[in-house]
Amino acid sequence: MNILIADDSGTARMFIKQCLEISLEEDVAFLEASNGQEALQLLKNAGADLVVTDLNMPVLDGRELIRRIGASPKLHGLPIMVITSSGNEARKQELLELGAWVVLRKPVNPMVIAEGLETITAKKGD
Amino acid sequence: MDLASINVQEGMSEAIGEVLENMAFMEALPGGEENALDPDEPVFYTRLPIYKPTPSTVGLVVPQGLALSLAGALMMKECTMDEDEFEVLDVLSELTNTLAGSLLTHLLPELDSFELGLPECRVIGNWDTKREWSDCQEFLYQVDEQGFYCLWRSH
Repeated sequence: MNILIADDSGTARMFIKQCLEISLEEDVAFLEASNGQEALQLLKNAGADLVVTDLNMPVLDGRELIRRIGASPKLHGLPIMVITSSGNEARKQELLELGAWVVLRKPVNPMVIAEGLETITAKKGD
Repeated sequence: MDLASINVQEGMSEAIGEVLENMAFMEALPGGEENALDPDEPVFYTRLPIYKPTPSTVGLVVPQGLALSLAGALMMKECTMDEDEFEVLDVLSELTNTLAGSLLTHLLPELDSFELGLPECRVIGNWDTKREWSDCQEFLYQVDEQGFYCLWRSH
């Protein structure tokens, strides 16, 4: 499984990676991007099975990344997990309508991420 | 809702507790006189703008020793200023970002939206509130008896 993590904070990327490693029982390869533009480039060049993204990022933010993934014939349908400090109920609804599959509020922990992954698995089965 | 008219103390305590427990596995407790910052110790100073619903700012003032401990806990290694200053700055920025989101989630009704800016972090020789923020509220907390401030200002 290939997972792309987009967050402008290296600390956040490392922390999310650790939580995912604990939550997933299979081998995972991680790709890392510090903004949405880098993420799109990596998705075009290398692909991924799951995108985990922050919202507030310089250059190209998480909202625009979700929009562009949804608008791309090649990337449309790719599962997207948003992990953001702005993840209250209002923002969650907005992002789900935009194309996110799951929205989690920072701070996350392995248990919360595992629940998010279960939601994605369930949505894939629908 | 106007953030300037809210008493943030309780929300700040809940938010900093949640953030440090989840990210660094550390417990933040209210600080007292005995946890006052050493004026001779350099501090990591962060701030993050809040754009909506009311222009406000959240920040942290963390003495160097505690900043290294926090970064070490998050990165699961021993951090030093010589080798890890950039990483420590990033850790403190991310803690501030997460603190701001957590604080607003505690303060605002569930369906009210908010907009955060990007955090900035730097090291300064010593902390002087009047020089940096003339009208902010300081909340003193401690981790393992090492004091640090959470800062708040709403315009």
